[in-house]
Formats: sequence, structure tokens, C-alpha cells
Amino acid sequence: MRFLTGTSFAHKMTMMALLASSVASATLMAVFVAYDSMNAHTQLENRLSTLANIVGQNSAAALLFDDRPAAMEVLQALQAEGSVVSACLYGQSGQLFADYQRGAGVDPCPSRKGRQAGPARGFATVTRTVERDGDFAGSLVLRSDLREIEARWRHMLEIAVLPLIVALVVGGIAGSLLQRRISKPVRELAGAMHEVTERHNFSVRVNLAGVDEIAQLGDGFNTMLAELEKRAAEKTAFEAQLKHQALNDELTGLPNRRLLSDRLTHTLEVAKRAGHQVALLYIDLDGFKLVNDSLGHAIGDVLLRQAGDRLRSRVRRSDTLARLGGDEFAVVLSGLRAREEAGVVAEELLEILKPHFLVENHEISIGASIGVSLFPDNGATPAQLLQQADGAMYAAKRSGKNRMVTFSEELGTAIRERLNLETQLRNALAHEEIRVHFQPEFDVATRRLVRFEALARWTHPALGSIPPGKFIPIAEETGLIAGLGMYVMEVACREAVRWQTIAGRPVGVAVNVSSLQLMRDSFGDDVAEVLRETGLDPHLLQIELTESVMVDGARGAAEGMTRLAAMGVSLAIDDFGTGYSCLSYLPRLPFDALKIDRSFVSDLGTRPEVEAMVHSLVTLAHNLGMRVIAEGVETEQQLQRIAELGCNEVQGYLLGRPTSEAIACIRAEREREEQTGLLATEAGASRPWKA
Amino acid sequence: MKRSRARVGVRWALVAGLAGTMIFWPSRAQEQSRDERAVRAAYVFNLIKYVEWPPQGGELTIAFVGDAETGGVMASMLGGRTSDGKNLRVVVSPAEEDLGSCGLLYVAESRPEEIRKALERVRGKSVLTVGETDGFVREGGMVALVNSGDHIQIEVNLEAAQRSGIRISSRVLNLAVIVRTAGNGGN
Repeated sequence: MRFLTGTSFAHKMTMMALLASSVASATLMAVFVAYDSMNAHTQLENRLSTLANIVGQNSAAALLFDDRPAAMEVLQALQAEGSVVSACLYGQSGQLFADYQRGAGVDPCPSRKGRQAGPARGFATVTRTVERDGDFAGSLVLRSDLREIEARWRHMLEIAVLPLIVALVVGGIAGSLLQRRISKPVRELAGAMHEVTERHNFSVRVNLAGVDEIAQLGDGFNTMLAELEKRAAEKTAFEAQLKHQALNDELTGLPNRRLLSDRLTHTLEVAKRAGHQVALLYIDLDGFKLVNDSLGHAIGDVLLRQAGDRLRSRVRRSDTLARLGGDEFAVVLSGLRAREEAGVVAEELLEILKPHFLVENHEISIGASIGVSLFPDNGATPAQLLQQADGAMYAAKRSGKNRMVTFSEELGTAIRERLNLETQLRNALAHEEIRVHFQPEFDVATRRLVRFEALARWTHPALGSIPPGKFIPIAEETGLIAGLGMYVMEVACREAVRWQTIAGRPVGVAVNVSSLQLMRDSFGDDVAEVLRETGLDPHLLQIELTESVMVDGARGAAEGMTRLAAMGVSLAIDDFGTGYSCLSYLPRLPFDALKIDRSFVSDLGTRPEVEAMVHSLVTLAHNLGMRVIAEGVETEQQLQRIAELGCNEVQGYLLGRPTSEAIACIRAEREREEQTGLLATEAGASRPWKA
Repeated sequence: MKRSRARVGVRWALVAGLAGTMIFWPSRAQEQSRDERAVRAAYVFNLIKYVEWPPQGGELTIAFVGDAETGGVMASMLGGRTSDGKNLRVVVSPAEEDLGSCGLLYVAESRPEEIRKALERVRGKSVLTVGETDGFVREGGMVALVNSGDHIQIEVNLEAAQRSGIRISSRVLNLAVIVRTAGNGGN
């Protein structure tokens, strides 16, 4: 049945019809031919038998009377019978008596009966006993040629071939007609299925008339296709939606980081071939967190949308503006002719963000810090460009915000160094590499030690001593400042408690706190907890804040300060005169002291205008009920001028460097005081300062 | 069984006779040999099968006249045998009453007067007369077994047979030469 496997359905059906018709007709032919052949055989044998009887009877007398001519004559009568080829008449003792052969090619009779071995093939042989009245007279052997029958048989077969061919042709035609009725719809179904599977074309339909199973199959197929088509459409729509969601920012509708990354990759590929430059601008809104915290996320979201709209209005359609998340945006500028163009665009973007935003009756001013990275100058890959622009943006933030910084090799080195330090700093806190040193502060009038300023010192096992100016900003950016600050606060307070008994009089401690720390809701509680744990009198603790507190987090900082002041903790403004000094906040905040920055102190005695300004500051502070502390005093001359200008307290290398041995310092002063006690009371001005 | 044994024995004798006839019977025909006599006896025996007599009993008496030697052979070969359901009895030199009841008269004579005399004895009776010469049938005998050199030729006088109510089978007639009574017209 091999021909039934493979090939087409139609072919199989035709072949089956052909097979059926040919088997049927061949069987019929075979039966007819076999039947006819058997019939012919039987007839021949019957005739032969009859002939043998007649010839036997007729030749009996000739045998009995030994009359050969007569016997020959009888046998010659067989000439009329074409099928008999030979007749042999034997006498009583078996000797050949008379014989007859038709034609030349016939075997002669054996001279004695029974000589011939077996019946020859292709011949029918009949042997008859010739007798008369029961007496044996001899025997007769008649032989008939079967070739005639065989010839007839062959002839019939030859005749049968024609009807067989006719049956095959008719069967083939009938089969192909029949198969067309059945396989045509099946072929149509298969074709439609092919269309669906190969081209995913679900809109095809089959049209099969009728009520048979194939028509039902066609109906079912159509129904299935309709369902598939519907589902495919839904799937396509859903996929498009998913794709859009995956590649776009929901809030602003701008491309997201992923799409930006794709576009950047593509843009870089094009630029590489065209030899163009590409710039990546990394934009971070300044002070957005404050808006979010103070006005709520809803307003923050509207602000982001408006900011996005403004940025979009300044970006060419061929360039990509994306929101990277939070308050971060990025722009890909393609086809730059000169690197300066990127700077121009960045400045334009800063400019467009400058006017205040109006959100639900809130006037909100925010700036932005922009980092720029250039292809191929800075980076070659999207990841590099993003990293570099991000770094440049942070540099812009650090250097005062609302500005643009272009990435450079030096910046890259600095960023790497910072990154390195960041890692080291985390380790340092864990491994107690950070130690607290103390620098003494003295009262100008009595020249006595009033407090120590606690300063964090980091001694790296490999890099050695790392100045606070390097690691404090890192700590602030990474959030490590909270842990670091509280650690310093705790050590300072615990030390300060010990000082009191040794000094025999109150000695305060000053601790620097960054605006980030102050703005934490828990800061007040943390300080109260430290004071309670160490048992330090809150009045002995002075917390020093920089002017940036006022800029960064006006409201949160004010609350924190009020809380601290209520506990009895003193508050001092550190590095006064270096920040964006807006004097209006001074009366509103509960400051107890003002620390004049060392840059002013160093100019004392050389620049009269600085002296005039310091004088004004001292007057201002005193009028507001604040003490004035001068830091960075390094010479006797400076000290002299400080005293003359009316500063209350001084600090500097001239009087005492930061030391880990605060207690030794106190003891030394106490001994000095005891020795020169009288002198001190009599002539305070001449008392030695050094601790 | 006994009967069939007897037949087997006779058959052998016939076979021997015929074989002998074929082998030793080439030319000296004048001198009737014992074999020739045996063949004649066999012929007589076979002839009985092709002859129909008017209805008569189950016994067929063969009356023998002539050469005594032939008569002996005849008697020994045919006497007591059965042919065509008839018990054969051979009477040599029959008396008158024997001739009255016999069905076949064998005349082993070649002399015409003797033949005539023998034929005269059964004239008007349903007796098949068998002789040995052409003259026998010409004299009015019915069947003659004539020595024709290499074999025995049967001659039949059909008129004679028909006259006495005896029917000879056409099968024999086919083998035979039909002869008419001399002087009685014909050839």
C-alpha cells in the first residue's frame, strides 16, 4: 500500500478507485477464465471418454478377430475429432495392435502398453479396456491435446485484457470524478490552512457548499478562523499597548530609558557611518524633592509634566527627549556639527526651565543641572555616554546647581575617585577608620577654653589621612552622612561628659550637622536620645549648620532648628559669608552664634574693607543677640584684630590644632590656670592663649 | 472365484495361441498346425459373441464334423467354457439328435461333397454353420474361417444365415468378406 502513503489525498482516492475496479474486474475475469477452462477440461475429458467407449466397442471385433486393417479403419475415424492426437490399440497381451497419430509432431505409440511413463504434460489421456461380453479383448489409449484448451485460455485472457483496460479507465475516470467531489473541498481546506500557518493570514475563509461532514468541517474551520482572527487582532492591539508601555513613560508620554537607550544605539550607529557628533544631555531638576515633599506627589507629577512639555518645545523632532525616571530627563542630540552646539542647547534648556511654574496656584521655581557627554569625544557606547552625562550632571549639582557641565577626562577621573572613595567610606564606617578629633575654641574676653569642635577624621589604611572636605560631600550624596553624623555626635557627647569633671567647669562641644541630617524627621529625636544616653547637658551642645541649610530645605530645617532650640541646644551658623547669604533669615531662625569664615580672618590686617565688613557683621550679630566666633586664626596679628573687632570666641591653629587628646588639653589648661590664677584675674589680656 | 481362475487360464491359452499364431505362422499354410487350429477355436469362441440365435436354452452345443485333430483342439479349448452367457459343449462326430439340438456346426472339411453333406444335415435348423474354406460358404455355409496366408479371413454368407434365423453382428460383418451361395445369382 505504499502508493497510498505520501502524495496527495486526491491521488490516493483515484488510486483506490483504480485499485478497486481493477481488482474487481481482474477477479471476475480470473473466475470466468478458470471456470471456462475447467469446463473445457471436463468437456474434453467427457468427449474423450465417450470417444474411447465408441472406438473401444468398434475395435473389439477387430481385436478379437485379429483384423488390423479393420482396427486401423476404426481408429482412422478419429480424424474427424480434432482434439484427439493419438490412439493406441493394444491386444490382449499388451502388444500394440493398431495406432493412429494426428499430424507429424505427435509421439508414436509405445510398442507395448504402459511403456510410456506417466501422462505427458499438456495431454489428456484416457485408457479403456476393450472387451466383449465380459471377455478382455485388449485396451485402448486415447490421447488428447490440451494445447487447444490452453490456447483457448490464453485467447480468453487476451480478450479479458480489453475489458480490464476499459474497467481501469472507467474506474480511473469515476475515481477522479468522485475524488474531485470529496478532495476538492479537502484541498480547499488544506490551502486555507496553509495560508493560515505560513502567512498567519487569519482573514481567509473556505466556501464549501453542502451538508456533509466536510462542509461541517469547513463551517467549523471558518468559525475557528474568525475566533483566531479576533484573538490575533486583540493580541496585536495588546502587544502594541504593551510595547508602548514598555517604551514610554506613563506620566509624561515621553520615551523611557529603554527607548532612549535603543534610539541612542541607533543614533550612534548612524553617526559612526556619517561621521557626525552626538551629544547626550542628562537633565536633573534641582529641588524637585523639596516640591514633592512639601506640596505632595500630585503637584510634583503635574510639575514633571509641565517641565517635560517645556523641554519638548525646545527639542527638535529628530532628537529624542526621554524621561529616565524621577526628576531625570535626557536628550539625544544627533547630527551635531560642532561640540559647542550641545552647550548652546543645554543653556537653552536651562533658560526655558527658569520661569516659575504655576501648579494649582503654587508658584514653583525650579532649576536644573545638566550633564553633557559627547560622541565620539567622550564615549563610544550608549552605556558610557549615559554614565558620563550622569557624572557631569552630578558635577553640575555639586558646583552649585542650575548649570551645565560637559564631561571631561578630569571629571571622569574625579568621578572614579569619588566612586572609589564612596566604597571605601562604607568600609571605613564599618571598620571604625573614622575617628573624632577635637579643636578647642576660646573666649576672647576671659581667654579660657569654652568648647571643643568635634571633627571627623578618616585615616585610610592605604591612602592615609583623607580630609573632611573630600569625604563629607560624598557622605552627604550617598546618604552615609546620617550614620556618620550621628556617630560623631555620640562620640562627642560622651567625651564632653568626661570633660566636665576634669575641667571642673562647663566645657561645651560643637558638632557639625549637614542640612540633609537636619531635614530628617527623626533628627531631633536622635539628638535627644544621644543627650539622654550620655547625660550631657543640652546647653553644652552646639550644633553648627552651614548657610546651605537655608537654601536647601527652608521649611524642614526651620522646624528642626526650633525643636533643637527648644531642647536647649545652641545653634551656630558655620562658614558664614561664603554661601548665598540672605540675611533675612537671620532674625527668623533661633541662632545663638555666627562663625565668621576663615577666608575673612586671613584677610584681617591686610584688607581694610574686609575688616569693615567683619566689623559690621559683629555689630549685626550682637544686635541680634548672637555670639560671634572667628575661625581659622593663625597669627597673633589676626587674634589682635579679632579681639579689637569685638568677636566673642576664637578658634584656629594659633590656639590649638584638632587633637584626639581633648582631655590632656583640658588638664594642661587647668594646671596653667592654677599657676597663673591671680594673674589671670588681674590682667586677663596678658594671659597666654595656647591650649 | 474358481470361475474367474478358469477364465484366466483360458485367456492365457488364447494369448499363447495368438502369440504363437503371430510368430509361427508365416507361410506353410497348407499344413494346418496345432496353432492354426487353436486360433480357429478362439475365433469360434469370439464368433459366438457376435451371433444371435433364436431364443433357446442356456447351453450351446457345438457339433464338430471333420478333421479329428481339429475337433480335439476345439473340444479341449471350448468344451465346458462359457461364452455370452452360454455354456459351451463340444460334440465331435454328432449323432442326428445332437444335430437337432446344437447351435453351431463346425465343419473341418474341404471336400465339397462332405461339406454339402454336413450342411444338409442341419438344413432348416437354426444352426450356425462354420467352415474352413471359401467353398464352404459358397456351398451354403454361413461363416468360413479361411486361411489367407498370414491370417484368418472371415467370410460370411449372409443369405444363409438370414435364412436360418441367425443374426450375425455388423461388427463381424465389417471384418468379414461377404460371400453369396454359388449359383444362387450374385458374384
